[in-house]
Amino acid sequence: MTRTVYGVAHWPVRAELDAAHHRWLDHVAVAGTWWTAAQRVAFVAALWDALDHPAAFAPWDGPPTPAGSPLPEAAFAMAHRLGRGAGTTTRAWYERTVAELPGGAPAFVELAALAAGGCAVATFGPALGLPRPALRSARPGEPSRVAPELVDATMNWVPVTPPADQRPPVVQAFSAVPAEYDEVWALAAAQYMPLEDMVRPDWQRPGSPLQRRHLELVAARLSLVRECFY
Amino acid sequence: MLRASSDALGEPVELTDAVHGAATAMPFGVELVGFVDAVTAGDAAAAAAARAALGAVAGPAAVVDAAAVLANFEMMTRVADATGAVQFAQRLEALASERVALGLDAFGSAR
Repeated sequence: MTRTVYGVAHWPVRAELDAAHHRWLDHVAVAGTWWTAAQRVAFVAALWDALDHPAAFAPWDGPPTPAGSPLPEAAFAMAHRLGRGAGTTTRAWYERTVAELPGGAPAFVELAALAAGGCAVATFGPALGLPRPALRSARPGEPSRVAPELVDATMNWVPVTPPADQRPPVVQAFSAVPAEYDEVWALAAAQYMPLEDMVRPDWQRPGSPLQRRHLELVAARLSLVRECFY
Repeated sequence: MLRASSDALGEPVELTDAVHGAATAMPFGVELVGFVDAVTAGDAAAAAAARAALGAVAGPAAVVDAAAVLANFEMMTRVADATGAVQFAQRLEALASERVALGLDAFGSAR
């Protein structure tokens, strides 16, 4: 029997979209490359709490890390910053955070990818008036700590797999942690369009009433609201 | 890609108007912008009204796909801003007038 995240609701949620969010929720709850499953689930929970309480703290002055949290303070603060005010990030913030995170820049990339996917899964259901899906219980296991060869990039703060700066900056952004790169672009394929089709201005999802220009209008307006210069 | 995808249909739009929901020549454009604004404002009643308005002109599948794209760009804005992604100089030059009209250069995320 197929498990669904959104069920048979008023809205015709595409099966591939439901499956992508289902898969991402499972993905969060297993050990990653640099973080345990408990840390990953706690990070997304902190991100979602920041999304739910946008006015509680300034983006750069989040709540204290809860007692007993499996997250180091810098990771908890990062969840708050990316949930509450990603448009306020600076290179100094990035460098300070990386210096404080065990695992350094690749560990930062893994959390950034979880924040990105977490913002998508957190907002889709509520945008349709549906409840946000629940996070799943963390499974046992240890991070793999397997890193590809990395080089510095000029188009991103984060290191990337070589060759640097030959792909769009948002595409190379998470290449340092291949498992997270794959999940984010799987979400994008279901929510927006497959990566390989993004060069096609006339692309349209089969059966969808929305043309590429409609997708881009939503993208542009959302980016404006979030004050994302990129 | 908003400009390129409109051009590809032979129906060019003025970018600033479109993003402000004033491109009435684009089908569903006003409703799509209203949907994004209502959902991101966190106003449940306004969001329900915006979904109804978009659904009435474009159908329920359009509402689902608009919500999916909205969610995707909640994701992509974090990809860009968490990792310090910068734009290619050529693209910045091509959008010079829109950057002024939309106030983009004043964003804290302008790098």
